[in-house]
Amino acid sequence: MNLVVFATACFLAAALSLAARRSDRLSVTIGLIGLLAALLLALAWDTSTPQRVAQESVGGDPFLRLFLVNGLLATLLLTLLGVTVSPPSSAAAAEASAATDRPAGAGLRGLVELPSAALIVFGSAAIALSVTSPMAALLAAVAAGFAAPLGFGLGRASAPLPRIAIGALRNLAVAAAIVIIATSTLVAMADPLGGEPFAVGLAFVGVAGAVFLRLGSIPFHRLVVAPTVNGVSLAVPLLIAWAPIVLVIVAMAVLGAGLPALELPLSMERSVVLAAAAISILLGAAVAAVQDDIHHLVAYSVVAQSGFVLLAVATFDPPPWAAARVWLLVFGLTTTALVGWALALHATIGSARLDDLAGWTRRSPGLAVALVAIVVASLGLPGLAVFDARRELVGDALAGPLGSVVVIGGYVAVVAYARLLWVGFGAPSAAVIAARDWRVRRPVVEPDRPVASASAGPPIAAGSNPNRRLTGSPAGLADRGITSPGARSTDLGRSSRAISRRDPTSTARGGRASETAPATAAIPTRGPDRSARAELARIEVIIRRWVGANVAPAAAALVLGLALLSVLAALGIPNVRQAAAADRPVPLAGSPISGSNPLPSISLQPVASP
Amino acid sequence: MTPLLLAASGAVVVGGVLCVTARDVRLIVSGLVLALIAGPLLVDPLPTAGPMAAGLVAALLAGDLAWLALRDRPAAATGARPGARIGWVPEMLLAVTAFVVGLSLGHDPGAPFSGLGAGDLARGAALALLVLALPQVLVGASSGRIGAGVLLLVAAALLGRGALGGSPSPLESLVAALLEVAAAGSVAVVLGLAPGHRPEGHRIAPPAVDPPSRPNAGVAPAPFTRDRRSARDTRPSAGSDRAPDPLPDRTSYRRAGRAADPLAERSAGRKPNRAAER
Repeated sequence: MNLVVFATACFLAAALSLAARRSDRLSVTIGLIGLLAALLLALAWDTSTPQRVAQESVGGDPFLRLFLVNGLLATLLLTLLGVTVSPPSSAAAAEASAATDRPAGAGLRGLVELPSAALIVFGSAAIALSVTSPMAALLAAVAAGFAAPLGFGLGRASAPLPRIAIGALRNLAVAAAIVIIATSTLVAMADPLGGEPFAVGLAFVGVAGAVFLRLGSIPFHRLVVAPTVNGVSLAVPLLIAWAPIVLVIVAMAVLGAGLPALELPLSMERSVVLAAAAISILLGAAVAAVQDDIHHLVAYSVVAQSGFVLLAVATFDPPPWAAARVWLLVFGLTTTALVGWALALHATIGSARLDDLAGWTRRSPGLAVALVAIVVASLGLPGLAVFDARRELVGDALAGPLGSVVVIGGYVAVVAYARLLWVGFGAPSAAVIAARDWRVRRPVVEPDRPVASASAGPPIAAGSNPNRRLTGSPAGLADRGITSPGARSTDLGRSSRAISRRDPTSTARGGRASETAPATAAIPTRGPDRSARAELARIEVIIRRWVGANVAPAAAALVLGLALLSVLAALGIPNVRQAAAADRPVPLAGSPISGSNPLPSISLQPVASP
Repeated sequence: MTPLLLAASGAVVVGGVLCVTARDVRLIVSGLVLALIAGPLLVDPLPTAGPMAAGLVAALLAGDLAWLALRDRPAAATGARPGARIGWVPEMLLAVTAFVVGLSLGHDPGAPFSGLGAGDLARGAALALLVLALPQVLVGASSGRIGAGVLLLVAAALLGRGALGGSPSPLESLVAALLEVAAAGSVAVVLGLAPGHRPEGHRIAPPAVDPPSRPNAGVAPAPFTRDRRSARDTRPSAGSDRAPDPLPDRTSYRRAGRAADPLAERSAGRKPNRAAER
């Protein structure tokens, strides 16, 4: 296993998945298989052996494998979460979902292209973090960023978000131009800018500004907030976390290798970058605490966390290499987990507003546990690897009272999460009462519903899950914009558990409370003409019914998986600290950790102060 | 400075101008491909066969992706006003001026064009592309113009890297080709599937207007009157060969019903109809 095999497999699977976009199901299946294959290839990658590609030596390090495995696994879980909370992949269902505020449509819009985008991002990331040449690494990191907008899910006529996607394209293009020119200036120091402290400072600010743009830090936070406002949150982790992380690692290596050799203090430029980072941390956490929409809350929390990444970029003499890599890994995982958590809660309750989410922990205790785990992984506790990484990043960048303010301000984000939990433990709202709880239920085919074709299901009313029978009061359903003739009438004060027990149509098979599921697909009957294909279709229908009848527990389980990944990384398992501090067999872009030959490809000459 | 380098730099500038000013989609894509093909040649020494082939394939692939996205939607490529906002002559002058400034940077002001090399030409071409592309990216009149600007901006950055760092290594050339294809693919996916895009405006396709309800259909509206908006309709005027403009305007919304106009809803103090807006 080597870089060529991994990158080729990633790009090939992405191309196949994109080529099969006319069939959503086929495209997602190919994408999931590709993600799984890439994950296995990353696990099998022997990063300790350098190789020669295009006349250059390439090689990875333990952190590269850790990054790829965690990123691919998190994206795989996020894709499965999208599949779980999304309606069937027909154009009519997508249109119906897009016409409502239901999260199902949001999941579908970014779902089909998400695996392809992730495969291209991680394939490019493998190149960026393996090659020796700093410019080749930088160009690969920029290419990874350009793949991320594919996850906006513009693959169908119902996708309505060209303005956001084009805004992301603009952002990427401007950041790419800035960072390529600035890094070229730093690496080559060619005439007419060579040796000028002003030019070096400008190049440093350019690299930092490009990182600002890509991370969506304040004042460029629209990149983060706009997609979440419009419900394309599946693309957010790739766009603002995983792809920029690669750029940050390469930029840190280039800055850390080049700037100390010039012996320029760059105090003013560093002050500008540090001030912007501190503003992102403080303002992001403060704004997150007053949001009434969970997607907005998550977006601003991510903005606040991205400030610590900027602190790492601003510290280049010497760079906090190990702490930054630990934090970057945890940042990617917690961003993915937070986005998944918001999507799952939205799908479970049917609303993203805090007013409607009162008492949500009673319906989704699994999601409550996941939120606590994600918060711990994100903010850290003493003894955790992430806690030490945060402290080191702030301590190296900011000294004195300002550092203390940033450390304390970073924990203001706790207020936002505590508010979420406080709301969750309150009296349940109508939407929460109408929502289903976390228990696993058996799907039951409703006899009086028409049976439709398996290949082309009927348009789904109000964007609801096709296999999900809506329960709750008519008033509660009307508040959620859903009208269903089959919805059962209940009192607001009763729990859905009691409702299910009293409703004779909802109890079946041993008296267990069951979810009634309409028959959206015909199960092939047994008989002489029964074929393997029919059997597969039958199995698929059964799986779809089970998943459709258990959206809430399935989503909670997947989010718990994402939270577990985050917690493990925050704890430093497996060997995160060692991998983050490990040396590479082939130095990356003049990496400062590369021992005896730290600057193999960079020829920066110290210049005398004027 | 060899004739090949001079021709390549000229091709980059001409291709860039063509890309941002042409009215026809074929010319836009041709200009883009010309700039992308000629850009990697502005290095000294010239790249070897492998990286050059990779750059050529990447440029052609990027052009193909742009063509696939825009071939059936000429209006999305050019926007409400075909051609450049300030006309092709000013754009050309702007690009040539930027090219000359780039050439002279770093030289003795007394003899700004003495001893020009590949790096100088690459710097001039990069500056020219930057001047052409940046306005398109930031304030492009249509999604097609913005997408073309994005690709030109990436090409300008790669040229700038060549100007500052000299001839790239084979691996770097391969990765640069990958970057071009990734950017073109992303642009193609976003542009090819986005409805007529106006950055400051709405993001839904306008409703069709019934021709009989338009008494002035097919008649050129008087300038500086309100009826001028009717010329920007979704359907081509009778007897007109001009491509339809997909950009919505308030007039067409008003004809189709007030609920479909989110801006009107907002100005009236009501919550806009999100479903219609989508």
